[in-house]
Amino acid sequence: MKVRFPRLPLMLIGSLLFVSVSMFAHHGTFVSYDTKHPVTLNGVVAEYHFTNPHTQLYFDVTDDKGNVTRWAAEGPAPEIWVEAGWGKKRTEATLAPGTKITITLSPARNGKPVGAAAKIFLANGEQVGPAGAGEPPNQ
Amino acid sequence: MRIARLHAQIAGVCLFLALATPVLVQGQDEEPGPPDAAERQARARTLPRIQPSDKKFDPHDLAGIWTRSSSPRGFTGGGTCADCGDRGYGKNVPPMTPEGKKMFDTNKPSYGRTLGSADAAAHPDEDIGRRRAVSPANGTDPYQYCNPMGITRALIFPHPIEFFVLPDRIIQHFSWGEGIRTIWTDGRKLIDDPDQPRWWGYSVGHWEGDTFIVESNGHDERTWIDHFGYPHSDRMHLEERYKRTNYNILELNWTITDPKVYTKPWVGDTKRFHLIQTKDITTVDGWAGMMEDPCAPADEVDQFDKRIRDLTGTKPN
Repeated sequence: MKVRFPRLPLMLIGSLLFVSVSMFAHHGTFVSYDTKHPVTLNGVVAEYHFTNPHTQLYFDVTDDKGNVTRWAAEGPAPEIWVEAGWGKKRTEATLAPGTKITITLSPARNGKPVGAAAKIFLANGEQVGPAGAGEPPNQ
Repeated sequence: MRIARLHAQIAGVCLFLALATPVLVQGQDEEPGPPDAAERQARARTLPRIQPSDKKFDPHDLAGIWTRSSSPRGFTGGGTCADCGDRGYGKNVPPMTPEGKKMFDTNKPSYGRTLGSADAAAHPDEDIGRRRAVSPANGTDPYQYCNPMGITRALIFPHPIEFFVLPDRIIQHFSWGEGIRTIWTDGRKLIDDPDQPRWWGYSVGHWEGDTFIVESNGHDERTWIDHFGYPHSDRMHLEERYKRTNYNILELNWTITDPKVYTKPWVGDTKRFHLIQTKDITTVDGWAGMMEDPCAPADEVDQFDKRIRDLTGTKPN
């Protein structure tokens, strides 16, 4: 039995493994966000903007008492998504309003519901966006 | 026999992965922040540097897309390739004049170690310019409102830069922020006092041997030398010396002379760029090469600044 290993996907995986995790180098992210204490939230997408300088995700988190908090999360710039195969149409369709997500982010140091997104997962477990990019640098 | 062949194929793939991808990883990105950023930097230093190529090249040919990004292609969200130099212009900052110090204190950057933090205090060997970061909402970085970055800062930013070589000038097109900078190569000398300051300065270039020397002045003083907020006046003179040392590597050495701000010439740190091909930067709809990447106030200010960045200030807005 001849085993074939498709070359292109493996090259992509190899490239992605070396993607820098320092996307937070923009905009003083270390200063504004607590990257040492990321939090994971379950929410529902309200808005998503695939634009410079950082993609923006607005989502609602409901607590045990039914109170809803609107969160804002910034993510990597569009060209980083695009380079990894996540174009605008695909990403906006994946994060359409009403989509349930689980998101890990570094929260704002001033306590406001704002964060720097590290990972976003859909309800079916699929990760949204380039795997590996956007990890908080201290993990 | 089949298992031996499978093992050989797996070994071949692993070897392929190890060798095939030009590995350019974050090395000297000096973005400190929390203390354990040091661990990250230490880890990054063990990773390979730019891979030189044995392809023949013309040292007088600077055309192409050059980048200081740490990915084999164009973008990494800010990470810089190993051995390419960090995100500052230079570590050996000369003493400032009284006027220069005033300008320095006015600038409030959001990069570097956080102002007043234990992390900042733990590195007294570093110039204070790199240890005074505030939240962007409380800062004065002109680029946050899409003002042009200016030459030195744009050359430092680790996103692609395309050099177009024309008969009478070289144009540097900076991907991030879509900056365009002209270097006149028609033999003209720099005039002492250009008619107007320019965000991208007034530059002339000539060859000496295999080194391309660029001199510029007439810089609009609202730009920062780098993202740590080091100032310059409208009398700054910048000399850049470019040398293509390998098919794959462009080296930049530079010096700032600005007696209004700095009491001595400021020799910057060496920066290196690696060459990427248009076809290496890909999108999902066939567009390749330099991407459209403007700083558009409609996005930067109206959306991002107002709805996210300004909410993260560390004092009441």
